[in-house]
Amino acid sequence: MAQAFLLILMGVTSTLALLVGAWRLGLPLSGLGRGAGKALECIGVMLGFFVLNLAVGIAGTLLWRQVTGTFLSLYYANDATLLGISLLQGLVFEWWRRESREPSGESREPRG
Amino acid sequence: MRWERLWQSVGLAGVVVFFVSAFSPLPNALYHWSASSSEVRPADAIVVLGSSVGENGVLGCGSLQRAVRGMTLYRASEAPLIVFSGPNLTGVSEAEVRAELARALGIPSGAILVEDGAFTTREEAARIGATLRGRNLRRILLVTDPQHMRRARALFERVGLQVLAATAESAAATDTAPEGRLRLMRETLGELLARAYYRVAGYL
Repeated sequence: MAQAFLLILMGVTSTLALLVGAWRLGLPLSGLGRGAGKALECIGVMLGFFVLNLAVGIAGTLLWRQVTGTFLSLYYANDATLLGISLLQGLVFEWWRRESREPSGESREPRG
Repeated sequence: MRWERLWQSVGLAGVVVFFVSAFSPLPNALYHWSASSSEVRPADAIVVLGSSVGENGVLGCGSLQRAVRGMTLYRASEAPLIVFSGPNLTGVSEAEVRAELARALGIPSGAILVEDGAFTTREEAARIGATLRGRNLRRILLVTDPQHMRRARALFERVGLQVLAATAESAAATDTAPEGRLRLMRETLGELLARAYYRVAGYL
């Protein structure tokens, strides 16, 4: 039941966003695919940061144990918060990369 | 362009894994594949492995499930001794909290052993193994989660004990809500990663 509820909810709000984007804001539907591609790219970079965080976290924990002889739990790296942190890192990195490579982006165009 | 393609592919894989994990029975199937089942028979001791305890002295859900399973086995006269494990990481000894609970529920102090000096499953096996061998106790009923059992069992067998699995089941295994399945997937992958690490390190 929870599955169907969430899937229907996702369908309803996605359809609403599509209608608002296409009719109200006048966005071309041809840009939807490119937008989804860029979103996937951001998610990919975020997952890259997640794997990096996990690997560095585990390696650092094991190194800490070896060097200090004191216990540090590996389960600290198994925290869901790491996903949120990685999302933030991925978004910042991806937008930094884009802004650096696309100086003629919309935000830099003269207004008026 | 190659950068974009690469990370788009990783992102797509991530989205597919997310939806499959949340909306399909794959996490439940993976859980059952990686889990062990119980084989309860009379033994020399019941060994309840550590899990977690809060700074306020309240046992974590998994810790309580394991403790209750251990006490139930003791009450069913499956073994005359019960060993509670669980470190003191936050100023509260998990093993002591469990032992206190057991005493409050009528298990005699003489039938309880406490081990709170071990921080990992490997250390639990080494320390408890040495204690039990010193008492000439060889056959144990090992109490832990079904997923953790395979790794824990191998470690206790390596220190010379005969292990009978007594899994502490949780409702999470049959959870079909998306959030529950995502949690189950994370726990399963965590345990598989731990097994891989123990293998690479030569502990298994």
